[in-house]
Amino acid sequence: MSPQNSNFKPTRRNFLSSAGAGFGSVALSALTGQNLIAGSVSQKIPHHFGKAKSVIFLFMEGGPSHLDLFDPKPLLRKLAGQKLPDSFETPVTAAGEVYSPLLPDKRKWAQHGESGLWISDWLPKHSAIADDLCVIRSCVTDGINHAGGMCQMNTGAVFGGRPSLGSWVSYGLGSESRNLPDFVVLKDSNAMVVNGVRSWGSGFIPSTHQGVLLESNDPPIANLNNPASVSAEVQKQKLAFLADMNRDHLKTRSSHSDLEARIKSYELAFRMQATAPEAIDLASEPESIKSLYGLDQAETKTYGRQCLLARRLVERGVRFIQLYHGAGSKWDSHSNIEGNHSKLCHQVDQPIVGLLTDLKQRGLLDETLVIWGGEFGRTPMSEKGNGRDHNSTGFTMWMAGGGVKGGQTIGATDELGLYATEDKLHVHDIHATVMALMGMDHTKVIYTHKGRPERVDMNEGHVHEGLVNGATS
Amino acid sequence: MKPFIYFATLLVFSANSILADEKVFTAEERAWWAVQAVVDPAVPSQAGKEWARNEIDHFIFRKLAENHLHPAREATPLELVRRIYFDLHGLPPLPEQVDDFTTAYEQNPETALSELIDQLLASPRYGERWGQYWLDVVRYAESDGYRQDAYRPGAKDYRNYIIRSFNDDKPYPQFVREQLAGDIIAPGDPDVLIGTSFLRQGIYEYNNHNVRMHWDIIMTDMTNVTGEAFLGISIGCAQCHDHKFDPILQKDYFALQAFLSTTSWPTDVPLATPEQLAEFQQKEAVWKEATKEIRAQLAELKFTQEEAKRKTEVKMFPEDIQTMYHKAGDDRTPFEEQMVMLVQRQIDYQTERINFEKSFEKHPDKLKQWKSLNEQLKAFDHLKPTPLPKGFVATDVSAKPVVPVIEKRGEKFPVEPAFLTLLDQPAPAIKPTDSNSGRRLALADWIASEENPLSTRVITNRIWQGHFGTGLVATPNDFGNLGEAPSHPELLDWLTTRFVKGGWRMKELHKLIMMSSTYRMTAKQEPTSSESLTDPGNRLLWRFPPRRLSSEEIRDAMLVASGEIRFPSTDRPGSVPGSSPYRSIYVKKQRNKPDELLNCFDAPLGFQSAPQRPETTTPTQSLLMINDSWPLDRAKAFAKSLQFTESGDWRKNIISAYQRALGRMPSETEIDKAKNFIQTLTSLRGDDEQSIESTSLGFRTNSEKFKSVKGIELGSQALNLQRGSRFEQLEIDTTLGSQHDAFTIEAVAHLDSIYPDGTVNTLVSRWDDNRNTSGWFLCVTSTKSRYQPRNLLLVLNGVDYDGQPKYEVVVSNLRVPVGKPVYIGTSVAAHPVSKGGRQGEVTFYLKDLSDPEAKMESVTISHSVIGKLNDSSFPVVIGGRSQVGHLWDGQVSRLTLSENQLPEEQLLLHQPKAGLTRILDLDFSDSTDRSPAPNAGWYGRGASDSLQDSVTDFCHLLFNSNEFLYLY
Repeated sequence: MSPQNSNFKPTRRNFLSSAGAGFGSVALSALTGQNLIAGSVSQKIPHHFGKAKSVIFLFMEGGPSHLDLFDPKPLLRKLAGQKLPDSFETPVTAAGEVYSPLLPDKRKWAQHGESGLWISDWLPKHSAIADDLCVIRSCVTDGINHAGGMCQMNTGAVFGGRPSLGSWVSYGLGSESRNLPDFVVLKDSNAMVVNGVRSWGSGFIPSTHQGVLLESNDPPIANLNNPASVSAEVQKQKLAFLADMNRDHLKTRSSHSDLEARIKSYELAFRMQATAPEAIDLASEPESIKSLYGLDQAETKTYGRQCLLARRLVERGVRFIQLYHGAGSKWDSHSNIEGNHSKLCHQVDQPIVGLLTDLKQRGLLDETLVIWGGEFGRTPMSEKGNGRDHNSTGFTMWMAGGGVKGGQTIGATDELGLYATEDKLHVHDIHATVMALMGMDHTKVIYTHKGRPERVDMNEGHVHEGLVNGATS
Repeated sequence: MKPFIYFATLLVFSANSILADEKVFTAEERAWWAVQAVVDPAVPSQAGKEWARNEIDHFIFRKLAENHLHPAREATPLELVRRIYFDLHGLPPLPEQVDDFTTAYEQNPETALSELIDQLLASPRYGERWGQYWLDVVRYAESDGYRQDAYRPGAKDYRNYIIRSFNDDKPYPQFVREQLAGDIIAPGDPDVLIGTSFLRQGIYEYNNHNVRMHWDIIMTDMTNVTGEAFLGISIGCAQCHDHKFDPILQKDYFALQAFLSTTSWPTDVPLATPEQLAEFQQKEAVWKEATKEIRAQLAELKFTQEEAKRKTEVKMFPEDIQTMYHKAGDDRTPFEEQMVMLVQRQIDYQTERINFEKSFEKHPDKLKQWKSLNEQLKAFDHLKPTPLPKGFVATDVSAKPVVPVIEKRGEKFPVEPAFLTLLDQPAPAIKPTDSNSGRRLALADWIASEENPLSTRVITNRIWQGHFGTGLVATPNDFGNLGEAPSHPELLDWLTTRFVKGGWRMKELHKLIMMSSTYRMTAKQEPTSSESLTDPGNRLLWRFPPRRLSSEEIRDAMLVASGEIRFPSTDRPGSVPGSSPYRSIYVKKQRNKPDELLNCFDAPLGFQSAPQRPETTTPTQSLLMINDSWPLDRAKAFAKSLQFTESGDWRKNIISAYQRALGRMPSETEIDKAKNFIQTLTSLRGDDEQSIESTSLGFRTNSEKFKSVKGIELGSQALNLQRGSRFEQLEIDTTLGSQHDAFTIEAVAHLDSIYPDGTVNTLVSRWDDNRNTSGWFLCVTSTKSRYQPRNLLLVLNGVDYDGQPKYEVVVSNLRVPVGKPVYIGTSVAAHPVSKGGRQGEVTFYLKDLSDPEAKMESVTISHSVIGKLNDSSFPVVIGGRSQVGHLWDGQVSRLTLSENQLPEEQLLLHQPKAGLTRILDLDFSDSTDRSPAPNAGWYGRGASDSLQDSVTDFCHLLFNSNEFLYLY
């Protein structure tokens, strides 16, 4: 599969005549006068890459502890209460917990599935999906604080202003849905995600590609409902009159494709008004599906609803769906990690298992890449006696579906889980790999900004083929 | 990762020469157009002789002719006047301004145009428009930009300074020097010093303990923006390696940074003249002397806490940084001073937030002393001068420079300030002062020099771009090989020469450009086939480029059309929320929480220099324009001012609407269509009102919000009160009269939202807000209420025991949840409740009906209103107060009014069987919009009248139209 942008070499000519080419896709990136340079992709990417059509990013905001979930460290228990041995390089951490005693984990660990993947008892249901997960234990980021970490995991830079990963995917692949945005964001509470709306912003690429926040209250999308004084019939009349006015205006200006694009954008807005409420209405879902996602339990119903919505959006062609759990850094457990993580893990365990199971039974998992992780992990050193500080130098994420080889572990951290030591994947590498899994060569999906050819990975990322081929092959 | 670290001390050998030696530039590299001296080219005065009005036109015509293209016809005065107002003020002309210009233009086009341009350039609106371009370039915003995104109160001073600089037509070299080196050239002049705020525009993280990395990010950002804004070079590419496409070396990057690297971000520099400062210090000395003893005691009390906090905080930083912190000031290198500055700022942040009162909780003696000392200190407040505004400005950390270092092959080379190696220029002359390295001034002087080939062309190009949307160089921040070559290199040089020789005055350059025939071409000409083949992007300007309005222009144009726009009365205004009617440049710019409308139409967020804005077209924009309340409210104000009446002169009204929104007369067809549209909508709304079958707007089924209610009998529907609609309030005539000095109100209701301010949400009332009449109202407080939000209140206005008028607020302190069905009961006694007493009482009841476990809360409160509470000439109003607002937003599913103070067991919640005399009992089962209840009528200020609503819709569509959003 080759992305539609890959052969798109705009000239002013096709730019001017591309007006009717559809919305939210290549035509619009061209409309801004920006050129998208991308060569032929297919020969550069191994053929087994590029299966995913959609991404669901399960974002555990605040930094979940890899040491208590996917990356067991027996030495941590042995050295419990001692200081970090001198053989370790001194890290820089957010709260300066460099010399605090090492905090042992209190988990029961077991190997799961046929593959024998290590998962702790904080995620008991995950056993069922162990063979689908590719656990990456060697993730690295530059952001030591939430703002920088979130910014980098979303946009590649600790510093604001760049397009988010979802925007790059939307830009590179274009739209499959005629009635919904390409990039949709959901969060589990009214709390705002760190860095606010720019976490799903489009940075310097056209805002057509920015994420749209889907709220759980009414209306689900900002300004989706008619104003109170405007009934459905009045709205219809208004839009008809507007279209008439705009068409009159267009008659003598048909060369300017922005004008027609705006006429179409009102039509799309109107379709969204009709489509979005249906897309998020779970009434038609059978009880068995609802309980698969944990909707029948008080603790799991919120994230379960998000996961179920994500599947419905994938079915409707949405490209990139980000599901924030713990919006506003709730996973941030500087103290009392036991209380914090046991509650939060329980909230996501069943919903995530439900999502993967459901995608699989519908045959959607092969073309849907599911990503799990936070902006960083947590330190082996304790904080405030029973918590852990931020760890940016080694942490775990996992991917599943979309052609990823499940039941494997990639990379490793040192014996205490502080630094990634083998097969390091910097955030740039993760982004490059996600692009590859969606069939795009990240070095070819380029947006020229202020004279510089910009890429998702800031020219530093490498695709880790082990995700598909297996770590050792 | 980063190939350099800062060295605190100067090494003895110079690295500049060592590193430079490694690079020999090719002839091709030396031929880079942007670094060639600006020449004063000969004007091709034969080209387009007939068409040209000034030299610009000859250059433009020559290029067109070379490509067999022709300039478009001249724009009409109508097109011109709209273009010029938006261009210079970012605002549409008022109808009378259009008339004035077209009349004058008919007399004498040249004078009319020249006078209009002069007049607009002299107006303060000019700086508000053109200042925005510069604010975009320097990534201006008013918040820190990281997680905390703290507001920067001093940032607006820089915005105002930029606006003033444009209005004053400040020569560009001065503008440059003030921003890069205001602290060196005039440290005592606050109006110059504020320019250095340019160096403060980067983002800042209040708790980043990796101060080394944080400062590195700040410095990198400062270097990049300086290179882009003033020199038009994308120098950021050269940070990690020699530029791959331009002859810029990695060394050049750090040589540029070396000018800036000594910069400090102080938090204690006042923005004041020496006189103001002296006066302040004199007054402060008096206060200090008077309070010496008290403050010393306070300091002693605070010492332990502060010390402890400081110690914990310092320990959070890396060890080497802690060592720097603990060094004596004299022993620190300038770089170490910068690190300590960042550490200190974090410590201050923490210590300023210690809650001493709380920390003394276990030491009653200390707490007592603390409180008493603070009381004593307060007694001297009259002596304390008003604090001086803190300057959001930059200075140098010391006279000794901080020297950046490049690491190459394991060796470290310090880099001295220098200009691009390619330019072969002598080393800059740097004159340090007592406290300043003087380096930034050397950079400013070079940028502001007439000989600088980059800076002079860059600013000239930005001005051209402001007028035509695209610069002669289409990549205004990048004149390098990754940017675009100039479309008209000679014209760029010719203009640059004029600009520089003319004293670098922007206003003169504006006028020169705007008087040209090129500027006067129409945009309303479709391309011929040769134009779309040869130059589809209109880079050669065969017509005037059509454009979409910027986000600020869109917002401001709506405010102008509606007649609501406000301009500040001083040149030092504050910032306002987006909901205010002030023009957009004054809207508070929070990086992580941008104004929805401005952000939606492509205003930059303020993280990177934004020399050009994209013009996007998105469904989010369409949804906002057609459904959000802000544009609709502007349309409402617009419609109201048009004064449509059923028998009025619609033709005249429609013409006026077109003139105000689109700056032109409508055609006869357009007038007819508008008339028909307004009529159709009006009758559609009338039909809605009359048709019982049509969707009911004033009522909603109970299954929506009251599904969870158990134990109270409800009907099938609920009254649906919507602010801003014709269903704001329901007025009911009742038999509740002056004889009723005790009564009980009960309601099952749902509050959808509360006001963001202090306005209350009235559930039931009987009063017109006039202190001279009797009345009462039951309400819930809003966000900024002095009684705290969501407090259930009953306000009484009657007489007291002595027969004197008495207004009293009875506060329940019961909190009404938002977004949930609730039971609210209130029994009122406006008579003495005990024998010989002077007080009445009110009992409040509240129960959350969404939660079966919830308990009923109740409270009884005495008050002194004991008579004249009900005036039967007023109706009882549900959802508001007699036509004065304070509206309920949500539903009421049942409402009863009973005689006497009902005992608790007779309340609705306990399902009393019989024997009750209810004055009113509404469950809305049979209600329709037309007949909502017996003896009842709607009142809604927002849209009580379907004609007004429909005119609003028409005005709203004018705002949504392409003709409004585009200058085309």
